[in-house]
Amino acid sequence: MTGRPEKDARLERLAAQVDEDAGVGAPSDEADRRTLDQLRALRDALRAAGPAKASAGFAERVLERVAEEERMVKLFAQRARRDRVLVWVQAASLAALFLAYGGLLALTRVNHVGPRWQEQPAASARPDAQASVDEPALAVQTAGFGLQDGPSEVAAPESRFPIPEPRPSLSSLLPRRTASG
Amino acid sequence: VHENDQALVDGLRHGDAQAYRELVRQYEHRVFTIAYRMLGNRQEAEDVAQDVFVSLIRSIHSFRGDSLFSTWLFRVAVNHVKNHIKYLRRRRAGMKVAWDAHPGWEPRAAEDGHFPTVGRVDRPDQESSAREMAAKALEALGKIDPEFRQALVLREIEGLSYDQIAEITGVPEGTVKSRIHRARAALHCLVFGTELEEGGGGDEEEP
Repeated sequence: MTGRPEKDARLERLAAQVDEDAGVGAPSDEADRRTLDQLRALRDALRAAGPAKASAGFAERVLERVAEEERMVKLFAQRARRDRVLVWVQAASLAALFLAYGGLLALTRVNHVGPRWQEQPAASARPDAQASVDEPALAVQTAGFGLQDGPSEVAAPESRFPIPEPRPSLSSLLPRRTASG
Repeated sequence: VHENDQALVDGLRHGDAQAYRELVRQYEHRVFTIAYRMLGNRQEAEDVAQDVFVSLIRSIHSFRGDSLFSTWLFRVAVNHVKNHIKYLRRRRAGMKVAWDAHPGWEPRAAEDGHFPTVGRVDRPDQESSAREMAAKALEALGKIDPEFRQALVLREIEGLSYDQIAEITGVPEGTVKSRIHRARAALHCLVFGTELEEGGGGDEEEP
């Protein structure tokens, strides 16, 4: 402040006495008394001139601002609600689009793959079906060699697989023995 | 006043617009004074004071009633002002806030054409001298450190006690006293010059 520590300390000590009533604990030194009077004059000047008045209509402006902020909040809330609805609509549209696409895809697959299923009934789909199809085929094959009687009795499955004609048995190729011969 | 404040605060908590309007009217000048004397610029001060009252609606639920409502409101105001000073410092990159040319002539002085002074003033030269002193004091107020200025504004202008100031500023009472004493000394130096009259330095009582 004054640049001299001892004077600063003296000034601060006097400043601390400003709140005390005049005359109580007054410094004996004339210069100190004068400084204290000056400090009190400053305090009185601040007390008198310090309080300021807000300009006319301040309260109304505050209330207007609050109302404006409330309007903004409502506006934003409405916008947020509208945006939310929009997002839901978009999501629902997207879902509907996917469903439609999925449906179409499924339909197309059924149309394209259907005849093939008719040609190859469940051969590749079910293992037991595979067995039931293979068994007659084997039987036919063995029957062709005349090793068994049974297989010839086995009816050809009602399938669309081309069944080979049975080959003539080996015995039929041998010269027939006569009773004399 | 305190009971009335409590009723208004309760009303505000329950969303009573009339209670809010009444609180704004009751404290508009005091909150504005804090902002104005801290910032030194009427427009900035009005903006900050408006912010304080607008934030009051949102923050009233944090008022627990441990202290007076006025103390709590002044703390909100002081925090707003401090934040605004920081904001201005950042924005203006170290430039000083533009103080009004004659901050002393804005206050309640103009109402009846007479500048208020403490005690009765019969002579015009005394009134003139009081005006001059006030103008110098208010101008000097803008030159001291914001922390000291804040303490001095709350003490001398708002007339608050040391413990109330400690509660508002959040610093110990001893620190508040020290800041006020140093602020007064700084103000004295600015108004009356740094050269103190040579004194005895004693604080003995008069016989």
